[in-house]
Amino acid sequence: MKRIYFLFSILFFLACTSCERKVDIPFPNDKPKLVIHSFISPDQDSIQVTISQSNPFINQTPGKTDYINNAEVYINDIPLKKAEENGLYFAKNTDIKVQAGKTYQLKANADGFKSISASTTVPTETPTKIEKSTIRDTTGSSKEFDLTLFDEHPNQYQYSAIYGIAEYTRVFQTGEERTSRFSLYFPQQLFEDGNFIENKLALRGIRLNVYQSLLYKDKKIHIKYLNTDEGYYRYHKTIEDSESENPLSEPIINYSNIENGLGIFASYTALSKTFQIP
Amino acid sequence: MKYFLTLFCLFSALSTFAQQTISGYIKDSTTEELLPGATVFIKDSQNGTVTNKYGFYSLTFTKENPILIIQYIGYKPIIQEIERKTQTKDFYLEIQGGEIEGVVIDVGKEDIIETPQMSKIQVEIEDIKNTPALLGEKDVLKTLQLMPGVQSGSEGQSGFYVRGGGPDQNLIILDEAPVYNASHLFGFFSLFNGDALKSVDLIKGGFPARYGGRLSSVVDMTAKDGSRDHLTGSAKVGILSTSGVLEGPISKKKKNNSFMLSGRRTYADIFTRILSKSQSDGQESAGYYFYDFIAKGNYDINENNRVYLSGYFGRDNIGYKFKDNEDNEKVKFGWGNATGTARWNHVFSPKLFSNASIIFSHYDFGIEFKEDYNDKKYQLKYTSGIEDIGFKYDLDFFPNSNHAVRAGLQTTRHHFKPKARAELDSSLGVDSKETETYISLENAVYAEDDWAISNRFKANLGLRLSHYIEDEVNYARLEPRISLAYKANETTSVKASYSEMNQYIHLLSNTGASLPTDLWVPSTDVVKPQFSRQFAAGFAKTLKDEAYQVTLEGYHKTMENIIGYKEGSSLVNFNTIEDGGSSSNDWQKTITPGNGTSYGAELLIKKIEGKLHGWTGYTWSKTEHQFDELNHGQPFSPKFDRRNDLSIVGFYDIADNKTLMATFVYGTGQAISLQRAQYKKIKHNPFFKNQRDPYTSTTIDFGTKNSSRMEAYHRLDVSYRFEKEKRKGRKAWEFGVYNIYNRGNPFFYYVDEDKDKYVLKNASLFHLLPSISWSYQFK
Repeated sequence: MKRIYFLFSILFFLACTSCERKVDIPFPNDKPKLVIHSFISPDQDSIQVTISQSNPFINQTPGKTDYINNAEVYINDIPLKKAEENGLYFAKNTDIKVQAGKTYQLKANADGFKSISASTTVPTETPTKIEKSTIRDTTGSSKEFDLTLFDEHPNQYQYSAIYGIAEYTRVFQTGEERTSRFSLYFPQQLFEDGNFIENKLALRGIRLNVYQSLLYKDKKIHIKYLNTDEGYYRYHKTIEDSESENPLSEPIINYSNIENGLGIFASYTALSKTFQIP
Repeated sequence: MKYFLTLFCLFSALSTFAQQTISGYIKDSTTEELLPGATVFIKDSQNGTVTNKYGFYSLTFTKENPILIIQYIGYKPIIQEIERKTQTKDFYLEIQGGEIEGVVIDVGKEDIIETPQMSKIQVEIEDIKNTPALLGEKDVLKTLQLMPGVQSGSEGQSGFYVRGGGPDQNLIILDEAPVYNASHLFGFFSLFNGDALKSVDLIKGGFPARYGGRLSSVVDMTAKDGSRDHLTGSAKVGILSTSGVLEGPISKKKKNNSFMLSGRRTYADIFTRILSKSQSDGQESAGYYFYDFIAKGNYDINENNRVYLSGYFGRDNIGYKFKDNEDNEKVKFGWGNATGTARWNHVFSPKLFSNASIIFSHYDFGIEFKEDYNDKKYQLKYTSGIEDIGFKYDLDFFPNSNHAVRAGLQTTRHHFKPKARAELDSSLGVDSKETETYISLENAVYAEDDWAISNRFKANLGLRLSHYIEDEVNYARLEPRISLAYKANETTSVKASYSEMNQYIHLLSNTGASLPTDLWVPSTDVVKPQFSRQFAAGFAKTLKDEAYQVTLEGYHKTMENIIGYKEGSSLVNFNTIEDGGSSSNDWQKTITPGNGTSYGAELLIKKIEGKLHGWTGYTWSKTEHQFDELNHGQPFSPKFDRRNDLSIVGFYDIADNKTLMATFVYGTGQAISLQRAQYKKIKHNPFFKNQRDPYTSTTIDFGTKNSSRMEAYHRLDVSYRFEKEKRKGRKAWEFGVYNIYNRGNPFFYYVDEDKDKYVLKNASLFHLLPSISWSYQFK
């Protein structure tokens, strides 16, 4: 079948007369912008905002991006503190309490950049029931299970996302115990209302590497089901789409809700579930 | 239908009171080719008519023994007194000037002042033959791209964009049959050989009610009927192809019949096969060719009945073979159109003309792969296509000198085959077949009236009812069509039009080029019909005793339910085909509906007389699309949104047998999504420290969709033709240079790394390309 690609290349048989040259398209308004990443939730004990900057793409070194450590960042006009880590700013939940249903304004400025602003309204909690199937064997050492999500407030439009980890505690002969965590990969991670059929959505075939050894104990699955705002969904959806991009397809336009900047300021409420692995 | 005809006849009988009607055909005096669009006027009056598509006219008058003036561009006018009792009369026009008798048919132009029709361009066949072309291949659709309001796509492509509409929104018809993929060689050449055509009309707005089914334009082409007098023809040999036309009477006895045959074939495959064999020790052979063929015949049963049969068949083929001791592999990749039309013209009375047509159109694209490897067999066949069979009935009714009424009905059965796949694998024991088909019915009834409200004020009022059924889906839409013209004086008229159009079938093509893999698909309960409203206004003026024609038009068009492709989706996915298809190949999930708006102004200045003649077309336009699922719901410019578009076409007759021809085109660069910036992309994950997924990477900011522009497109082509009279005909040599100043126009952009930095590079096709062709026109 690879031959077809060869044959398709006959499209360019006239390209024997073609040539390539470097072009310089001026983008006079494209100056570096502040890039924000922040996902706030009542579920977290602090608010974290990561700030970096964009750089021109053409005539630049691949992957060149920088954190911004000299920014002033405010949420609802309350300043955030700078963390030691590059580009991270934070406020404890006691300073800024994140509550469902409330709107939060983010503002930031840094020398040499336009001031940015963004807002998010924290979604109200929409109870969702999560059911886990029994864990079954698959090929090799893998096992798998299914999850079924039940939307218990079908009249309320919602966006949601699911995350999960498997956790094992290994007991060494010395008596030392060490806990390992592995991410779970779901057949679908981001949802909007249209994904629920009759208020139900089944996630089938979630893989689990189960260590049967007696040396492992306290095996668990932790699930977090997030009710997110629209920005959270759209931002992650563009990331998901760009990761599976076909070279012949239209480019993915990244979602951003940051005025004068790039990135995302979003919010969610979380439902946590833990299942024991037999 | 009986009631319909009875009503017409009754109306006809009543209206004949105290009036006299003359009707007949206007023909070329030598070949008897029927001349559509010829004018028949009564001298010193505003009373006149124009021949229909079949060369038929009907003129009602009250004057005693009027003097008729019959005119057609390129022909000597006839001025003749008619006795009042005359009811039917055919007129034979003689070609004016030094053309070879019976060979060149100049279809000329409609009178732009008198007609209420606006936004219409009649392309002269001579202009198609004279316009410099890529590799000397004269191309109807590329000549259309030189008209205002019509824009080309990428470099060298024959697909075109009319008033903000996509190539899928153009209805291209040849002898009433729609042609679904009107290009050869991945869009670089159009299907139509200008030598075989009699007329080409392009309508961009103010659509008469007889046309429907597409949003943005109608290209109505009619093939030559063929000479009824003697056998004649032409042959042409060029760099890429050889073509020929043969026409003449089927039987000379009665002069009531004729035929026309036209064919073209490329021959690059002859050389590529030799080359590939020599480079692979005879193991491999690869080649590409295309051909097309038009055949037409007609026969007059009697003076009131005439039948036509015409057909088009064309195909592109790519072949590859590999053979050694163990492996025998064959790959075929081909696509093509076939159309057929059977027509019957019947004259009920001098005032009532009818045409009944049975129309067939087929397009298919296929890949076939066969491999025998150590006695194991593998075969894969994939095809897609569309096939139409339809019936059309039209009546032209001329009740009096102030009205020309047309009415008719049309029904078409579309058989869509987006995917048919068969796989045989002897080693795995696979023998599977899978076919996806849709059948739909598209119907329409229409009526329109060319109404001379007064000597100065004319209108074309029409209504079309279109109807579509697919499975349990049923759509019915009324489409009003209004064109108005006010003749301010003998050289100036002001015009306005309004039209609504519906499109029930859609073309899936997200590559921007006219690829054979593009799929025609039906409207369904999920994919709604496309709809447009267009308002246009402008004026037409002739200058210097009609040596110059100037038209200026402005338009505003809105489009609903147009098709877009979801970001990240692609229809071109051979792996999916090979892997047996998947849900990602479900075309209804790949597309998304949206709206569009386009507005602009178009200026056309034509110089139609003198040694130097030609035209200049300029368009200023702005087109914007809005899709809920694209660009995050924000409006954006489609690729073909082009603010400025200029074409200058000139023909200079150095002598009777020497002509210098030149074309200059300029267009604003294509709208494109370019890499504007790079930044860190952080994914959220509530299980990780600081809520950050540790696998961060760099992402690209494209800005908003299509927010960048490629460089402007421009080029100059020139050609020179030298003709020499011979005993049995006339031979001609033509030398041309495409893109004479070697401009590297953008075909596509890509990002490359140069010295550890990203750089943007332009790949261009068709730099300076010379061509030469030889042709012979038989007497």
